[in-house]
Amino acid sequence: MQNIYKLILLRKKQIAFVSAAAALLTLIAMPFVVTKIYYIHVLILCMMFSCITSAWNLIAGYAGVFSFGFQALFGTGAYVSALLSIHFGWSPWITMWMGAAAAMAVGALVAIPSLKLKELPYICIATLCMGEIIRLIASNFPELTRGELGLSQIPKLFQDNIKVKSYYLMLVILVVTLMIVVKIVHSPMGMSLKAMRDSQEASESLGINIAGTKIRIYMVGAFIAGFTGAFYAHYMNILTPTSVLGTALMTQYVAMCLIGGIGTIAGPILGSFTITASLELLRKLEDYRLIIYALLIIVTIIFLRDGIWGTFKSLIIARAEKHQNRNIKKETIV
Amino acid sequence: MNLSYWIEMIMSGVVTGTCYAMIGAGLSLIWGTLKMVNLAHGEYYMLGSYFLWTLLTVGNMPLIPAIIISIVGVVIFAAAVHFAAIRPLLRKPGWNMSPWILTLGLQILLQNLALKIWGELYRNVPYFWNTVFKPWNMFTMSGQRIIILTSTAVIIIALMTVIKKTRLGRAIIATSQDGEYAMMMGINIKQIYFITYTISAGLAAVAGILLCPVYSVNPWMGATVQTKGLVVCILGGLGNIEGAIIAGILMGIVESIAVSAIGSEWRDAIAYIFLLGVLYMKPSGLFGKKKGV
Repeated sequence: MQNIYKLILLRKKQIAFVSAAAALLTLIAMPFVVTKIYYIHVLILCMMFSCITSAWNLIAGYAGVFSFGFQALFGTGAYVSALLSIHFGWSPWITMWMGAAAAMAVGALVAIPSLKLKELPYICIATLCMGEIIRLIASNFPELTRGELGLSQIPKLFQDNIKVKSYYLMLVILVVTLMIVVKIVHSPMGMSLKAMRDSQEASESLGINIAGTKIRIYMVGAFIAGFTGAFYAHYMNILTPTSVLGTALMTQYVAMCLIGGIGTIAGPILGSFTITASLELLRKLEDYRLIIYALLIIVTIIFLRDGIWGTFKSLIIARAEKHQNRNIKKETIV
Repeated sequence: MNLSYWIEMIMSGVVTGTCYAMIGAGLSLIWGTLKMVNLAHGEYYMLGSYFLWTLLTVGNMPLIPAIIISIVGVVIFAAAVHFAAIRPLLRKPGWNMSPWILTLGLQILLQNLALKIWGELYRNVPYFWNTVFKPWNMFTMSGQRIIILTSTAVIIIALMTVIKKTRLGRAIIATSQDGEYAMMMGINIKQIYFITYTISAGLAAVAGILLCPVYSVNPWMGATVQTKGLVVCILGGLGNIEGAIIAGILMGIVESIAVSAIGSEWRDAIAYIFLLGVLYMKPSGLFGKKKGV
C-alpha cells in the first residue's frame, strides 16, 4: 500500500498523462464499440459541455471572475455562425471561425464592466445582466433572428455519416481546448491568474496587470465557447434564444463545474460527463427528471464540497502525504 | 400622453417597485448576515402565491386566515430548508461559492415540484379589494394597488424599526458587521442566521401574496422577479437594506417609464442596462458601501 502512495506522489505527472491518454483512446474507440447513434449523440453533448465548462473553469476557477453570462458567448458564436452561413451562403467551416471571433469580441465587451467590480456577487449579477441583454437582443429582433421561433435549416458541416464525423470533430475541439487550458494553467499567466483569484490586492502589488490579464483570459474562454457554440449550431441545425442563450444553460455549466470540482482540469470534464449522461438516463422518468437532477446537485454539494474530482484528489494526496510524513518521521528517529 | 397618463405610469411603477424592494430587501438581509446569495428566494415568492391560491380556491377559506396561513407555511418551509440544506454548509470552506450552486439546485427543485403539484396552468387569484378610485378625476387607482402600497409601506417600516430599534435588530447588525466578534459578545449567531433567513423568506412570501392578484400564478413566476431582486439589491449596494428599498422603487419607476416610451419587450433589458450603467460609474452600487446592514 505504501508503495502505491509513494508512486502517486512521485509520478503525479506521468499518472495524469497516462490516464489522459487512456481516456483519449477510449473516446477514439467509442464509435467502433457503440453502434447506437443515440449514444454517440449523447457523447457529443458530453464533450461539448466539457468544452464550455472547461472554458468557464479557466475564467471562474483559475481567474476568479465568476461570470454568469458565459452562455451569451456560446450563443453569440452559434447565432453569428448560423446567420452568416444562412444569409450569405458561406461554408460553415469558415463561419465557425467568424462566430468564435464574434464571441471573442463580445467576451472582451463583457469583461470590461466586470473589471472594476471586486466583490463576487457584483461580478455574478453584472455578467448575468450582460448575458440576459444579449438574449433579449436575439429574441427581440425577429426580422433577423426570427425571435423566439428560432433559426432552422442551418447548413450542415457534413453531408453523410453526420454523427460519427461530428463526433470526431468534437473530439478534436475538446482535445485542442484541453491543450490550451493545460498550457495556460501551467504558464506564468496561469500563475498570475491563481494569484489574482486568491488576492487581487497582493497580486496587484506584485505588478500583475489585472485588467489586461482578465480581458485576455476572458477572450480565450470566449473563443472556445464561441467555437463550441458554432459547432452546436451546425450540428443541431436548429437554434432558439432560450436553448443557446437562456439561463438554463448557465445553470448547467455552473452545476457541472462545481460538481466536477472547480479549479481543477479534470473536474469540469468529469462533471460534464456525469451530469449530461445522468440527465439522458433520467429521460425515462419524464416529469421527475429535473426534480431528481436538482436533488443530485443539492446532495453532491452538501456532501462533496469540493466536487467529485476535488474531493477525490485531496483525499488521495492527503493520505499519501500522511504516509510519507510518517516514513520521514521513522527515518529521523532511527 | 398627458399628465394623468404619466402619473398612472409612475404609480404602477411604484407598485412593481415595492415588490422589487421587498425581494431586494430580503436578499440584502441574507447577504448581510449569512454572506450568501439566495437564488431560491424567488421560489418563496412563488410558493406564497401558490399557497394562497390553494387555500382560497381548493380550501375555500376566507381571505385573511388564508393569507396568514400561507405566510406561516412559507416561513416553516424556509426554516426546514435552512436546517436541511444551508446549515450543513454554513461557513465551511468554499462558502463563497457553494451557496450559489446549492440554491440553484433548490430553485430547479422547487420550480419542478410546483410544476408537478399545481400543473403548468396559469392560475388567477381574485382581487382582495375590487374597487377603482379616481382621485381628483386625474388618474385611476385600483383598490388592490392601494392595498399593496399601504401594506408594503407598513411592512418595510416595521422591518426597519425592528432592525434599528430592537435588541434582535442590533444583534443582526452586529452579526453582519463581524460574525466572530458578535459571537464573542454573546450573540447566538446561528440563531441570527436562522432568523434572518426566515424573515427574508417571509418578506418574499408577502410580496408574492400581495402581487398574485395583479399577475397570474405560475411555477416560473419567481425566476424573473428574483433576477430583478438581485439587480435591485446590487443597485442599492449589497447588504444595504434601505438602499435596496429605494433602488427597488426607483427601478420600478424607470422600468414603467421606459416601457411606455420604448416598448414592453425591452423592459428587462432596460433594467439590466440601467444597472450596468450605474455599476460602471459607481462600482459599489448607488448607495455606496455602508458598513453593516
